[in-house]
Amino acid sequence: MTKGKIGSGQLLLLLFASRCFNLLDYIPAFNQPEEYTAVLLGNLTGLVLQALLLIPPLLLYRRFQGENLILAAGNRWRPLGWCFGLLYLAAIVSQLAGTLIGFEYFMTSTIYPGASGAFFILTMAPACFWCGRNGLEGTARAGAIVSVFLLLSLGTIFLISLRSWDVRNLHPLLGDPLPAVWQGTLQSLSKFPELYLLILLYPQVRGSTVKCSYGLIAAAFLLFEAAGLLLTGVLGEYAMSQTFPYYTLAAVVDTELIQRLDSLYMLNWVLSAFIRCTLLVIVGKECARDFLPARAHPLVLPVLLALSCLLALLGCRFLEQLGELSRSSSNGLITALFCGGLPLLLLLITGRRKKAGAE
Amino acid sequence: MLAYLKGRLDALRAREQEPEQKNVPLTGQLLEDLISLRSQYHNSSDFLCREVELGGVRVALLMIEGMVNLQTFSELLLEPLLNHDFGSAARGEDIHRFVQEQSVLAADMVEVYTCQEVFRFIMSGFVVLLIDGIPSGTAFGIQGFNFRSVSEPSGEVNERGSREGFTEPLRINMSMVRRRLKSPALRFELMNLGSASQTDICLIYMTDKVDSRLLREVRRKLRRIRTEVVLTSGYIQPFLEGRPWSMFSDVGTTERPDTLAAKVMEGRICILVDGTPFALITPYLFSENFQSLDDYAHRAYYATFIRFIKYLSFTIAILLPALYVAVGTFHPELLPHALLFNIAAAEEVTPFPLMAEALIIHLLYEIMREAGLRLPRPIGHAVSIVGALVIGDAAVTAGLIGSPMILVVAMTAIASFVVPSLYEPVAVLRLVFILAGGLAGLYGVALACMLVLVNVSSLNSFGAPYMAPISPFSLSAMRDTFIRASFTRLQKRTARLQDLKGVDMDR
Repeated sequence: MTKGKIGSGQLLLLLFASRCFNLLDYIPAFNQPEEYTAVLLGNLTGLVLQALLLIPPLLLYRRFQGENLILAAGNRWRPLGWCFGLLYLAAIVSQLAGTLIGFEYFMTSTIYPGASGAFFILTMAPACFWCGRNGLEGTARAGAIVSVFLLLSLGTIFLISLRSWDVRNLHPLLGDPLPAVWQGTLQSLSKFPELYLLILLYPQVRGSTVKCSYGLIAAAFLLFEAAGLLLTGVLGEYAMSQTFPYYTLAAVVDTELIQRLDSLYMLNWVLSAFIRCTLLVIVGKECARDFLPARAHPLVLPVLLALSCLLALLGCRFLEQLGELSRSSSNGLITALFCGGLPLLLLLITGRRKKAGAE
Repeated sequence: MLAYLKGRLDALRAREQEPEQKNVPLTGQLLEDLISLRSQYHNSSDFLCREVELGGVRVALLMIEGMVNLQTFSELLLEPLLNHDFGSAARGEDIHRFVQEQSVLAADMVEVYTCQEVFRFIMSGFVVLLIDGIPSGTAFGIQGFNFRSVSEPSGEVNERGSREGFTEPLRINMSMVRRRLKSPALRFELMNLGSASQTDICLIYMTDKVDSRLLREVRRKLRRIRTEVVLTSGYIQPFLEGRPWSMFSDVGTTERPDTLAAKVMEGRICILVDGTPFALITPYLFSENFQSLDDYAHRAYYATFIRFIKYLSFTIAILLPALYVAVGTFHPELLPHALLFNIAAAEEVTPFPLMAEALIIHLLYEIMREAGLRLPRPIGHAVSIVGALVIGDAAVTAGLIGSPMILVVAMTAIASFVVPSLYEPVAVLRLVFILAGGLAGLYGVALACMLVLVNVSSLNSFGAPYMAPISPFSLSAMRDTFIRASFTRLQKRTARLQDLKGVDMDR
């Protein structure tokens, strides 16, 4: 039956809402304004790479129908299940802490200057854990509603900002664009935990996992491409000096009814951060349960909460270093490892064992 | 595991606390049976026993004072029995046969065999006839107690629909439903709940629409209720709710037989409780709180407009004071300058922060509302006048509360009455949101919104997601959710609960 499962459309919307979190601090360039166009092109090659990376997990899911990656590994060879479980759990906890740090940094630096960062971490994290405790179904239903709201509000900011769009800010591709395209490709993969959350959630999906997977990367591509074009066209070089260019865009827009649209941006930020954290909690909880003994299950959520809060609070003290780390291109490789590398490894191991068994 | 053990322990305790049921069979010795019945009834003064002799056989008519229609009793029961010629040496069997086969003394006749059954029937307004030598009795349904007549329901007034609302006696309510659905598929299923109150409850459903798994689950939940009394439908409502601790209830109520008829046609199960005019509807969805019978009496475009007004009012009722406090305290830059100056000028002279003002005025409003509701109507009006004119006006004049805040509270109060079925969660959540907005600004409001949204979205009523058909989204159901399509579209297919996306009755 379909107990506890969610529709593929619901999962797509939930992951999309979570993905919007990265849009809000997205800068489509690294060094030179001329790179803007190349980075936007890099998004397209990133889409192709993401599509390729999703092939091994989809094949794996087809082979082990009903089992997620960790269970499939553990059922074949228990230590492998432990390794996979620990790796994914570490990735999820670090993403959770990173999301909390990013959120805290935005709130204390732009909306509430001077406020304590701990306040935001210690209110957001327990709220997400409480919602994560309610399970995936409720979060997915809420996420679908939130994603509609996000689309509408991002669309509003987009449409209103369109008046200031200037084509002269788009520079032609000159010189050797390949390094910038590669940067763009990696950037489209970095800070994209939804890709491996998606593959861990396959068993919870009712309906087509293929459509859901490719729908997500297509939607994310369109969103980031549109945002990149908008930011480049409206802010030009000014975007590069901004930590939150989309926020700058919303703050400079003047409407008749509301003085500024930055409140809408802040709401988007809170909602998408909430959805991402809750989703990470849910998947983290399931991950831990897949390889830990049953008697440890009641402790999973409190330990995850304590660990992520602790890491986030510690991380707030090393913002500069973390900022550099988060901008590093190697982030994209980490996502590639968790999304395609580990499933491919499992596919190869199980294939070889199967072959050996048959012989 | 602990929760399971606690549940088992509670059930055992509840069973232990039940009074011992004396299920003594009738012996056929009239004197002995009467002594047994009187002793079990502790000689209560409302217990009436009329003994007569028919053809030399002693018979007894048992009833409860004030619950039997005496004229009907006399015309339909006493006179035919007394006027019939049983001869001088009749036997108990002759009288019993006459009652059973040769006469129509009452439409509702039931044979009873135990003292417990005798009690149950006479307490429901039946008259029980006991005949010496016959080890059973015959119960005649000739109830005649006083009750409130059928009138327009005060909580669900409508413009163009029927003026009939449920009343207290169960049988009358059942007849009102039957008059609206003359289908053989409509089924009434009687049950008895409450070890002391022995309250009749009635499950109503369409046999061709209801999901059998839903029906089985509702029956199971009702049978598991171990309570001494069931005085209103509210006593059994928590037992049917998926999450009794949630602020939103996935069991609806209605006072209108036409609303109930519409719900059973959609595959729901409705429950009528004897002694209360409120029927329960399960499963019940969030979007149904915004529907009313008038929507189907008005033209489609107007009904759609009213739906929009209701959703807007619900949002205003919950969020307006919180947004006002949050923006006024933390984000004044969002407001246009002219509006900001007006608000600042009004708030400059008040001694309290915005959050305290909002909490105080809302608590005062709730106090006045509660007082106005419980007091006799003329005094209630006086309280309203004192509240509105004296407290409201005086508070602004004295500089305790800013006039924009009064405006916000007034708008919120009016908006909260547009969707009366959601008043309870709205009243409490409003205060929670004010606190969130006052302590953390728009961030707090957004966070609180998400918590409520996830909580509401997690509700499942017998396998039906409470937020359906909004999320999970069912496009076909949208014709009667945010909008109300015309009947030319609605008539094509009757919406059934089971057809909504995400509904899984196996859960």
